[in-house]
Amino acid sequence: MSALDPFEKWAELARLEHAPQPDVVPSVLRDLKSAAIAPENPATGVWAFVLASAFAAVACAWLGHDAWLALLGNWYSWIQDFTLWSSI
Amino acid sequence: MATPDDAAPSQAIDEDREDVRAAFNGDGEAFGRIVHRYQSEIAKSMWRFTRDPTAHRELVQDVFVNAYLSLHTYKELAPFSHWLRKIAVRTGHAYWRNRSRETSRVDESALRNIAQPPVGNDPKEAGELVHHALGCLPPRDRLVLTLLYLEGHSLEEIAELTGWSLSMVKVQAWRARKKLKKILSRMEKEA
Repeated sequence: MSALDPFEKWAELARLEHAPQPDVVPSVLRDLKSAAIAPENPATGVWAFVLASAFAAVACAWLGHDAWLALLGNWYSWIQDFTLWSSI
Repeated sequence: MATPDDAAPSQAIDEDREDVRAAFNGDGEAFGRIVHRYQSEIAKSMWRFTRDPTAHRELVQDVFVNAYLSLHTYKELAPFSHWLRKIAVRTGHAYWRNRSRETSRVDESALRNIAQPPVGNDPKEAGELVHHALGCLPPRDRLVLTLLYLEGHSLEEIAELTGWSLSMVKVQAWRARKKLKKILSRMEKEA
């Protein structure tokens, strides 16, 4: 006889056991309401990503444009200084 | 040809499908109907993971909350009950994994009793003993033996429920049986 044989007999008997039957409907619904959680929707994630990317692109373009203009401004003023310069 | 017996399960599948879609769109009552329909089956299954009534209640609750949060992963290719069962098994396994980090005490008397064949015919006592005996194994071994012996699943079903490959389930089951056999042999000798 294998050492597992008695265990298998116990397990067979344990299968007949009746488990407690709690009513979890109210608590589950209360949990879902109080935490205000919703099923995850992948479409929402995709839209959030698209919107965040678009916003980041606009912000980069705005800042980049400003930086570019500032650089040109410096360059123009340098040219101006250079052309107006005269040796004593 | 469809028989009246076939009509009932297909009606239940249709009801599930409608309620799942409604719940996904935020209808709490529809999800309440799902919980009401399956809580008994899930409660039976989760009783294999804990013998503490409070923890058991929380575990059943967690299964449904996890299911609600993962509704987008349900593809309607298989009946909802199969998908819910997978969530239940994974929730139970996570519960054991978290508990195994705490210091667990091996119930020597349960192991000693289970090394001998049952004399009485009390399923509650048997459930208690088997639960404590399997508690001496790591969570993965414990899960595979619970599904095999207490839930009566085949290796293929276990692979589907756990998300492991069939060969991995076979190896895990073999190792778990070997470990349990070793412990029980030792207990038998001591007795």
